[in-house]
Amino acid sequence: MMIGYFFRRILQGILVLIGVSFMTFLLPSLMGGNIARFVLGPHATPQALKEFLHSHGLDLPFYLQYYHYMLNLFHGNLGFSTNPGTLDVSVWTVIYPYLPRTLWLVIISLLFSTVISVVIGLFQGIKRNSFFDHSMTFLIFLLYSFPAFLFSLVTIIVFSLTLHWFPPSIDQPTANGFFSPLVQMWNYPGQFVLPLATLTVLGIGGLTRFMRGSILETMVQDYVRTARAKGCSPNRVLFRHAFRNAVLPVITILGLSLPALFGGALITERIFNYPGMGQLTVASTNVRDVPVVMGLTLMVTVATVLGNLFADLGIAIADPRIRLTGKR
Amino acid sequence: MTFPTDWEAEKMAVLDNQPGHEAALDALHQAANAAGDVHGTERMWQQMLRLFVSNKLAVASLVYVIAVVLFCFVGPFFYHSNQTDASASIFHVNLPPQKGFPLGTDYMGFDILGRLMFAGQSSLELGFLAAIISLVVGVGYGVFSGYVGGWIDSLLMRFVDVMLSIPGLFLLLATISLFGRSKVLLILVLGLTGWFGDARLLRGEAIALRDREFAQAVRAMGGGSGRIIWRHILPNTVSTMMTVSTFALAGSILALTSLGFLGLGIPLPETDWGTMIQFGSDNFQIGCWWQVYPVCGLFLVLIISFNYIGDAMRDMFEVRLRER
Amino acid sequence: MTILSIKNLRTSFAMRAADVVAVDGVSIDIAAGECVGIVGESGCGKTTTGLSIMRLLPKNGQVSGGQIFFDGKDLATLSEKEMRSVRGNSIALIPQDPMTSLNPVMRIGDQIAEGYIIHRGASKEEARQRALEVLRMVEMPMPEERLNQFPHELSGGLRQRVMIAMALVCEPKVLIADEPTTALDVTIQAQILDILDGLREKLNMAVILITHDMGVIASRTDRVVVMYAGKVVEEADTKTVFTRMNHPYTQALLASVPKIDNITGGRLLSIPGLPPDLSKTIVGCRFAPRCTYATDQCRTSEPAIQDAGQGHAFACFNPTNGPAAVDVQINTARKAIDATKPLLTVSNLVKEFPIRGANIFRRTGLKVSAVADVTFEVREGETFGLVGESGCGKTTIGRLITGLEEITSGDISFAGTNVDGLSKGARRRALARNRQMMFQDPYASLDPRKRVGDIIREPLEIQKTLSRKDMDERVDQLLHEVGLPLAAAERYPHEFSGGQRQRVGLARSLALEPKLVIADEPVSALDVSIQAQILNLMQDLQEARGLSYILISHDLAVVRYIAHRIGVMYLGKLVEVGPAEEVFSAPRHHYTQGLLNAVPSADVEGSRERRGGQIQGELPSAANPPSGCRFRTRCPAATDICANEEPKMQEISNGHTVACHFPLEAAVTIRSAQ
Ligand SMILES: Nc1ncnc2c1ncn2[C@@H]1O[C@H](COP(=O)(O)OP(=O)(O)OP(=O)(O)O)[C@@H](O)[C@H]1O
Ligand code: SF4
Ligand code: SF4
Ligand SMILES: [Mg+2]
Repeated sequence: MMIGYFFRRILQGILVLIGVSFMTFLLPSLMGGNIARFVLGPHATPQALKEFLHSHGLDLPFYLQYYHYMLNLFHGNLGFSTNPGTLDVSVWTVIYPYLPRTLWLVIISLLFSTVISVVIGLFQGIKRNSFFDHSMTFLIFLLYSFPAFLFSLVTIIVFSLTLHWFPPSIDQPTANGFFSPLVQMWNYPGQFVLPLATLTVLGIGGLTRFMRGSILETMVQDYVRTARAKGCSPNRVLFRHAFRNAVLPVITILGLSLPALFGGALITERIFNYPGMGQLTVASTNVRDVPVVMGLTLMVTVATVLGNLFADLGIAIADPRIRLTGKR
Repeated sequence: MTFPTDWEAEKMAVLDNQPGHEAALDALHQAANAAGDVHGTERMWQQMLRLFVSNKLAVASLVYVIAVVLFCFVGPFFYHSNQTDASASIFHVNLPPQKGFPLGTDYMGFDILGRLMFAGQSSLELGFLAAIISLVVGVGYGVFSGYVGGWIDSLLMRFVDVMLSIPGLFLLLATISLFGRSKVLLILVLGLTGWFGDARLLRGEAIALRDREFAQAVRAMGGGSGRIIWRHILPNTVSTMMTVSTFALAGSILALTSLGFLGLGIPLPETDWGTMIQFGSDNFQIGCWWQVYPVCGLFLVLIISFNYIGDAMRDMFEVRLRER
Repeated sequence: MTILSIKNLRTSFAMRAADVVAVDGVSIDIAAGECVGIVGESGCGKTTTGLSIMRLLPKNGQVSGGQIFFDGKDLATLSEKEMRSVRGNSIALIPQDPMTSLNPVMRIGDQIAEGYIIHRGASKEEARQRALEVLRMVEMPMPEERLNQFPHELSGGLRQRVMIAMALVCEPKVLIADEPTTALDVTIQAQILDILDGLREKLNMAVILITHDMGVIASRTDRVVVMYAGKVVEEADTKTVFTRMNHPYTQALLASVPKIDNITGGRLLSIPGLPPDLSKTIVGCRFAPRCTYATDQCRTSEPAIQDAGQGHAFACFNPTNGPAAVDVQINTARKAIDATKPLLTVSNLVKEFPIRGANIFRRTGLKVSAVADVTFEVREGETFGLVGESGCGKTTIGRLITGLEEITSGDISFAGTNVDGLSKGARRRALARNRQMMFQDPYASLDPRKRVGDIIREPLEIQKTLSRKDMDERVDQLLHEVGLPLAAAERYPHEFSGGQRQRVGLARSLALEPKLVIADEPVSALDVSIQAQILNLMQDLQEARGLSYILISHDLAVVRYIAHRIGVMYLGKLVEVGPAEEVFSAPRHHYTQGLLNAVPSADVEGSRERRGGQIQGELPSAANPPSGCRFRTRCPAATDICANEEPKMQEISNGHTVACHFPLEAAVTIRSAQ
């Protein structure tokens, strides 16, 4: 049963990816012939424009263009950069060094924020309406409303420029392009404190609110009363009966919060000068390197879809209703 | 997704343990009516207003939002400053607050106080228009999809799934890299990339309402889909729409400001808060704090206010549903 | 020997506006091995009393006065830790809804064993053995397998057995069963109550049975406590309560319960008004505004509870003596109805729903056979009752007839209506003019955003047959007919009580003057006293307008009370159709017989010996119905033929048809034996 459920989810994920790849194909093609003028500049001859279109297969009918696009995609070919600096380098070559850097940042901060949120939300839930609950609710609300760029700005101003505790940016890749987030974090953990804190706090806002709501909702369920009626101690009620049920929906939310987290990462990377996908996306957008931006978008979406798949798998393992019937 | 507020959970806990709680609530209303209590006949909007006004912080937030709007759009009539002529402003670049420039000047020599209004106009305008677009599209799409159901619904929702798995900021940058960023394009791009979540929410509501017995009753008395959608489903989603539109407004202003901060905001000669923050933060290291603090403060409190109003409205509607 | 003694219990809930005193000065003594029933309308404080004993009140609830003596200790003063050693150990609770009361992510075995581990310090293995033992005690089929299952794998009836097992694991001295069978079908209810009865005797437990069902009270309890608005109004042994009650409320409550051996068309007594608001201070007798015997004394001072001897006590200034006299006049008037002209003919109706599965494409190719080849007719001016357990397809038939659901195959034809050749919209409007629907849930069936007047006017607006002025007149007239004040038109639904809303629903369904109204469980969401009002109103309107009803209900007594002819459904099949009297007094299908046996009658005399011949087991899945006769898996008379050949509907006496290979003889029924 669970296999069926999981296959369905994988299939859904693949469908989403096909949809996204269609979008990354469709959007540029909306520009039609303009792309040639765009790349070659306003003074290109009609002959040159025509040749450009032909050489890039852009004069073919729409479905053939899509066919070629997908064919290329399956061979790992995402197109070629139009950025003067990396002109005609394959998109994959341009972006792949950046992938693991961003993923590293996102995964670490997701771990932090999950643990922190679950703990805070749980305590808020049990100590409902206490001073702790109220002040946390307010704090979390502020964090939740704080835009990513403002939060990083504030942390830089306070901890970097004023207190000089941490550097405001991260060392750049060496001349040959080498930058390993793992090595860098091992050698200079201080550089990672502010970016990770920003991303973690971004995640905490929404997750804690959710966890608090979830535990509150769970605590008034009939089965919790049943547990109390059995004579279970408060701790037993909480950890044996309520906790698992309350955390299950949080797993889904973790998956769903990924797109926002990647968005946050984009901004954070930009501010702290972290050489990740976000940084690259902004730079490429500035020079309107469409193939690279599309390739990056596709990659981020793949990561999101995979993340959601993991969340689904986690739930399926933790929830016997899905494990046994594939349904909730 | 909605979660119990304290009050609601409290009430839930009580109701939870009383079988037939609806009847008990009913009795309360009945008694209230019999006693000539006006509460029962209170109009819906009156009741909401009462609940909203009783939340002091929400009222303060609303006052702040209105004040910011007035500041940006009415302020320039009383406070004149040069915001467009760079050749004239070039002589007083990066001045700290002083007589004539109460909040100092920016890197191009424009007066910061006036620039706050000037940038605010485009930020608010754009945010507002984009929010309207996303609301109309989102509500229409969601309600239609939910009401129609079946494979059409599945198809429409798969599309929303696809769009929701592309991180919003990446989607924005991708479209901007393609189409550039004129004012109109920014409105369209922000509006057309912001409605996916709303559509999903409204779809859920539409499905729930469509299956409610009162919608079924309309069907049973010979009424068509148009009547059910316009007279029954949409009026019953008004509360959701109001909440959604508040968050949509906050969302589009925030997205625009983030773009500005990334250097992708409204191009010169116009400007927006995000762009101001970006240039200001570049100059912060050389001590130009006045280019950062006012605009950040103004903007941050605005976003917090919007979120607070949205939260308050959501709680309010939930309470109202509970009160009946 | 008194084991649990509640003295002057007072429990209140803190609400924003004011405190609600849900239980106010309740005293009850319970002896070992005794079954005490607590009965009363919803909101009267039954559950709160139970939870106060367990000290399981929600956070804002508090026992603010009185004592609860158990085992020589006052439970109200125990520390939380001491109280924990009482809960589930010496006092146990069975909650109302078995579907939500089990932890969805914990195995059944672990959930049952947990209490044993906590209170007896047993090892995991011992506790598991014990769990198995108690599962056997509650007659759980395949107990070993159940230990490792999760709640969602079990039906409601089986889950309630688990709940009972869980409560029994430490052999408590007192068991509080809060509406243990309300969420279950009658046949399952009978099984569960039998198990409870048996275990009570075996373990010499005291049982507090909280219920609103007079039938359950009559057949299962030794002593009854009647509660009204947070107070005990009368207490006596069960027989006395039913035959020699002293309190007007007890009398009225009993008179408003439809009984299964009523004669069709009998008029039920209804209690006017609603229970008082418990957040306000109440002066005088709480029942006074609704009491027919009320005097000035009742309105100014509160009657104390007084002893009438032999454990009988009541709180009233003007005690009654015995049940209210039954009004027989209308009976004879109604008897005269002799409907013969068919109005609606349903032939070979079939409805199947595809099942969405867990595989990749969600398609399973399987179907739920919700309605399978059903044929019947409804005649002019009659009420056709459709009964059966939940999931048998009653609701689906109603929805098919009103056109809310597409027919898979078969035919529904209405006398004098031809909709061929009309456009889709026009056809829908034409259908709506002669058949209307009355819905079950008075809270969901009226649009909360519309005024009552607009709600009633809406069908008229859709049909566009009247001028504006005529519409207004019609709305006023309808409000008047259903007994609502004209001012109601300006109000919103949330300002009305459930019963009043159901009146609005009825007015709306009558706006187009249809010939047929399909009422799907019109009273099942209402309290008995309100139920009676609606049922009486439905009958009055039938007489005044010559209406026909299809009354869909799981409550046989309600159907018995108002229906002229009855169709009994089982798992999508119509198994028996006949005149109401005949079907109830001499059922010919084994299922009908079993169903009737399972219904506890709200009358102490008959109900005790009427048991036996019960339906065993669970309802099979409609996705995979048994071959041949669908009832064969639970039928006591099933043979090989039943498995191989589907019984055809055959006429067995005038107007009485049954689908069974071996129909019951008319003579063997209990009723005719009397
Ligand atoms: N829309 C639907 N999709 C799938 N199955 C359905 C649907 N509606 C009804 N069913 C199934 O059809 C069968 C009959 O349902 P129906 O609701 O008509 O029974 P009922 O006797 O009225 O039940 P109850 O007494 O609980 O109201 C059930 O097995 C039910 O699960
Ligand atoms: S005391 Fe009076 S009002 Fe109360 S039940 Fe008795 S007669 Fe009725
Ligand atoms: S046909 Fe057979 S199984 Fe079905 S009711 Fe009759 S005797 Fe029982
Ligand atoms: Mg039903």
